Amino acid sequence: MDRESIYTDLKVPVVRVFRWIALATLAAMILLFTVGYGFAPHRLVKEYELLSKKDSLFLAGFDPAMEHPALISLVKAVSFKKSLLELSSRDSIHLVVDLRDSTVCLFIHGVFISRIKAAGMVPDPVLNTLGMKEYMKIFSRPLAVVRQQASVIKEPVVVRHAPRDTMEAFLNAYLPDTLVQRPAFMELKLEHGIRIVFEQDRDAHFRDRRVRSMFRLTSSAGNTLRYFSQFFTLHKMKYSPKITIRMDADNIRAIYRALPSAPCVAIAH
Amino acid sequence: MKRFMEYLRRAGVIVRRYKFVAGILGMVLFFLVFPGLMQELVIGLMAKKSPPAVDAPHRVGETRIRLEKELKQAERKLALRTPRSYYLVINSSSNRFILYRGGMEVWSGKCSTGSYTLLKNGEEQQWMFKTPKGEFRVQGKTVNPVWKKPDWAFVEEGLPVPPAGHPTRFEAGVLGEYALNLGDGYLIHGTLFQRYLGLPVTHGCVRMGDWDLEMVYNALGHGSRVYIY
Repeated sequence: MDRESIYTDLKVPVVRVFRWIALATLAAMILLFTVGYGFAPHRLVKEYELLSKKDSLFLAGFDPAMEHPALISLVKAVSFKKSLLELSSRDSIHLVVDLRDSTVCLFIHGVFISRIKAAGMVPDPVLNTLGMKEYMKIFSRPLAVVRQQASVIKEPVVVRHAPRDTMEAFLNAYLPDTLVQRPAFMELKLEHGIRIVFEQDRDAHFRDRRVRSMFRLTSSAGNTLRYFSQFFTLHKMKYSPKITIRMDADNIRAIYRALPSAPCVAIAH
Repeated sequence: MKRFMEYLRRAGVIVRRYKFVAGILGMVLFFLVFPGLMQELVIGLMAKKSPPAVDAPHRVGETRIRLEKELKQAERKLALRTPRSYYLVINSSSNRFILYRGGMEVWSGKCSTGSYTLLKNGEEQQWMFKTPKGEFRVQGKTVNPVWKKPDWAFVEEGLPVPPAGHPTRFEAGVLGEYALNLGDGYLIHGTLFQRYLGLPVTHGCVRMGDWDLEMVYNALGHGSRVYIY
């Protein structure tokens, strides 16, 4: 038996063992990811519970009788009104989302300046599992928007250069045209990881369907990457509750353009 | 049935032959399906969880009365914020306006708002033609307003800019019969170009049709609120 044949004879089982070790490691990682991902909503609710427990002032003002099922709708109504009152004291335009009657409103200084009925609203099921203590802690004040992204241009600026003389001005004169509007999809990321996604209710052209697919892909890819980065950096995976609102594209554009850079949202759920 | 069993047998042979690849594929499939299923299961179990028991059930009645009182107070405070008189809401995205009285819609129509044009005069000067958003108050009302043309009105026509106070700065009849001043140089006024109503064509002001403008002018007074979004 020469040296080469001994090496060749040993190489095959070693490679096989390494292959099975790699497969087992991959299987273990996938299992851990599955468990972490699966339990992320439960961890989120626990975080919300901890949030309410940390606030001693809030706990002192919270009546345990509010957890009674007969009082839930009343507690939610009071939370919403408190949120609106706080929002009315702030400057600039803010957003109000009422999941009870599927309306989205623009709100400034206590006045509803626009009230739009959504074609459909789908709240996240995790939000339905919150106890009244956590609900009041989160929803009895307006939530700040941390990030906005949309397929719509917020300020569609057209640059024109001043003409040198009247002849050039005459030649450059243009008639206003009805604007070609982009498909309207918008995502607002709020405090506590809550997201509100606005989608236009109709796709009139292929372009609309393409933009919808790209928007959803970007949103879900961002979410997936976030989970992966949290997993591989050994952080707890954070679930992000999502409220999906379907409405007319013109209304979504109006809302997106009306909102300032740092708006707040009051939610009735 | 026999054919199905045959296919299963053949699949088993392939899987045994390519165990490693099958393992990888199986894990990818598991990864695509099971995390989502697991999450749905956990959420389902969380939803089924019974709410915490109330320590003092006899206090529910007292709490209900207190909450109802709180709700009424909050609703009253919010209702006070809505103007009881006329106020105007302008949608600069769809170029429409609605006139309200005490929260009820009274009149609506088309208008024109800022064109979002950025006019550049070399590197030193530029003007952005957009209608500002927010809450405004009517600061003045004028009949048969005369337009005092700013510098950009000459620059965009390719004309030399005259000195302030020069007669060419003043042009009558272009702003319609009425004008409402919102401050900072922004007006609600009429227009000669009625066919462009509903389009974003202005330099920042809000243009309305003659009939709508008269209605709004007569309804709003000094200090009336105008909301633009």
